[in-house]
Amino acid sequence: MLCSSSHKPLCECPSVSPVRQATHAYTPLSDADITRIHDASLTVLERTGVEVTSAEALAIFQQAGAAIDPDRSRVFLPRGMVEDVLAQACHRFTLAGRDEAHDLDMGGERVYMGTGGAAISVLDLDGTVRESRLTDIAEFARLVDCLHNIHFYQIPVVARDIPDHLHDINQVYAALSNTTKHIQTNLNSLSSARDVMALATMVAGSPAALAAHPFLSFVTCCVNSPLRYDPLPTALMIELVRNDLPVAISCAPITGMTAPMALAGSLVQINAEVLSGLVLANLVRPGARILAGYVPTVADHRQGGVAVGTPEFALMNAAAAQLAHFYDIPIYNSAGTADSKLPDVQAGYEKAMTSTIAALSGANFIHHTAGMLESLLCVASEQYVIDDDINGSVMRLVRGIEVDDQTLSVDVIDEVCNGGQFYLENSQTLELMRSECFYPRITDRKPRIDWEAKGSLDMRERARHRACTILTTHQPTRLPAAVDQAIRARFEILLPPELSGSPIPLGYPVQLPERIVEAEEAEFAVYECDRR
Amino acid sequence: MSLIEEIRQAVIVGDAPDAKAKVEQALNDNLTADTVLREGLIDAMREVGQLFEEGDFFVPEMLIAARAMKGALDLLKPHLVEEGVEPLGKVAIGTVKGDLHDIGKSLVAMMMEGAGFELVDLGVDVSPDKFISVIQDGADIVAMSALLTTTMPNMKLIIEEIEAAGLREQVVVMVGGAPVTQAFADQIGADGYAADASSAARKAQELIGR
Repeated sequence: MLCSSSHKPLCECPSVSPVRQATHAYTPLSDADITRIHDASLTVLERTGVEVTSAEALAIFQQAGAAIDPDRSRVFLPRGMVEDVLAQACHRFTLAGRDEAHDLDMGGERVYMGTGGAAISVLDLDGTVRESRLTDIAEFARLVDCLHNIHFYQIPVVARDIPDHLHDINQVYAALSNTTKHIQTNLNSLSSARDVMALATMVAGSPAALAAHPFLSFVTCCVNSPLRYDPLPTALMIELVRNDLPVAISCAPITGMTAPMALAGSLVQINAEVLSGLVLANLVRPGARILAGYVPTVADHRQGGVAVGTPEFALMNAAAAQLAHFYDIPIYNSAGTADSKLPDVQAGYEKAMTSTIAALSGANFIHHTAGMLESLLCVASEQYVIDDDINGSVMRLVRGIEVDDQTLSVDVIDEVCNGGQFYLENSQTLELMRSECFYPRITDRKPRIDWEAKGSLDMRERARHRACTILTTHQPTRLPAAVDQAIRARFEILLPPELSGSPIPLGYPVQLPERIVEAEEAEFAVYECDRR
Repeated sequence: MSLIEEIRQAVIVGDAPDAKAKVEQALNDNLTADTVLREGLIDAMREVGQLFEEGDFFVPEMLIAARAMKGALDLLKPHLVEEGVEPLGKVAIGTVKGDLHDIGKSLVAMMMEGAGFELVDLGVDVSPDKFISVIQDGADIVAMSALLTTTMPNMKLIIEEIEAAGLREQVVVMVGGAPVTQAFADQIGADGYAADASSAARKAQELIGR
């Protein structure tokens, strides 16, 4: 394969700040619509209730004053109780990075875009599709560590090559050792939850340090739509909240399958599900750091499959952000999703549409915005690189247009037009040209003659090259050696040591198509090529 | 840092007053104008071109560097003449008849001056006669620009008129502008085409063999 070293730093920080406050730029619901959905959700919680089979959760709800139907394990939440408990909810908190430059300020309308899980297959750089494995989690973490417009790393694939009982600890270790961005994971058992918390504590130094600077958060899918609590994720959520760790309580009903076909009805149900989860978490720990997890999904009823690159998905995810803003609780939702099987035109439009809409709605923790293909079943290295450009463009949209005395530029216009020059040489141009515009990394805007000279590569081919370059050269900040050794001594870590933050994955099995190799050899002729 | 290096840096960052002051100081220190030109100014512009091609420098930065270079070069000129150093060549540039778009043409002019050419800017809406007379006055290169597809054919007419005047052998003809391509340049019998200002300056150097 080709392993050309780039002569330029791969992780330059662009001067456009990646995180901005959206300003209600896109709001599919009116204020009256929001109130009606809120009201309908409370009616659902009071009249229909939620099914809770976990004895612990049932007891917590009952103690707080919920009505219980023990024969049907049903919990009915009185309107006043929901409102009283929500009044204690946490409105704003930090999800930290191992490097604090990557801290995420959750709340308000501050927008962050990151990866989401969990796919089960990988479209490799050589075009083949295979089962995902543990080393993928390390390598995608390294990619994301380098890609500026991907702000956090939710573990994107399932390690299908390792035993189930070792999943949680190994997935978290593979991620933590390869990126300093915030990491989010799901969990599969209470015992592995304790292991993961112990590992995170070793990295943080103490439980208090971890709680104060949580570089790891969790997602628990407590509710199986419609309105049924799943005992294991519920127990995990309760355990994590008791340990004062941030948790996303994620609900993902599918219109016409596990939620009403009417989009408004789907929103009513997901809102009821999310509110019940917020109530439970705040009963366990008032003011718990919870992300309200809305992933309102649609189906393509022609085949019956989940469809996530759709306008309805985008609309409902934006509406969900409006609901979360109504409660002033940080939101976890979804965008950058595609149903296409490969990084093609379909994937491009699906991703640009869903990400633009979600980001302009002011959602906080938007996951799935990088790497994802095939209705959340597959990821591809080159797709992360492509999505980095899409996300950067979307964040520029979020930033909007700054209008003030300086930017109105009346003096500049006068100076240039009476001075017989162009704006090119004006000091304002030099001062603002890097910050006023977003400059994507692999998107082509060159003259045709230059594009042809570099091999006439399309976006996917350029992305493959950059992905390969990053994977084989980017050096993330490693875990401290002593901590790493202690972790490997205490837990059954399966990731090869050379992949704990190494830029040169030994035996990395990539075969790039000849055309890319030829074109890039011309460009990087002075650098060594490794054709392993 | 040596004085030559300071001159280089002043040009690279586009600080025209500093570049001039440093060149004056160099002349007072009895450095030859030729050394200042080659090791200071031209080398600085070579680096600016490289930074531009690698994406580190943007067009406006390249432009102010070229301006700084030109200011310093004007100071050097009488000394270069004394030392018998020849300029790279004389370029006449203009937007062809019927076309008033001049930003691209002006950029190319700046970059060519920055590369060390003597420039005659004919402006916009330039008639074939003006191009002919400037060749008669000794221009080594004629550079024509067009933005409109409707004015592009005038480039061909001008080349034909240059031929009719018997001047085609003594001048290099370059063409450019958004709708212009290498294929079009070949078709109308131009000697050179470039897609942007930086490569236009480099192409001009290649074409006159320096």
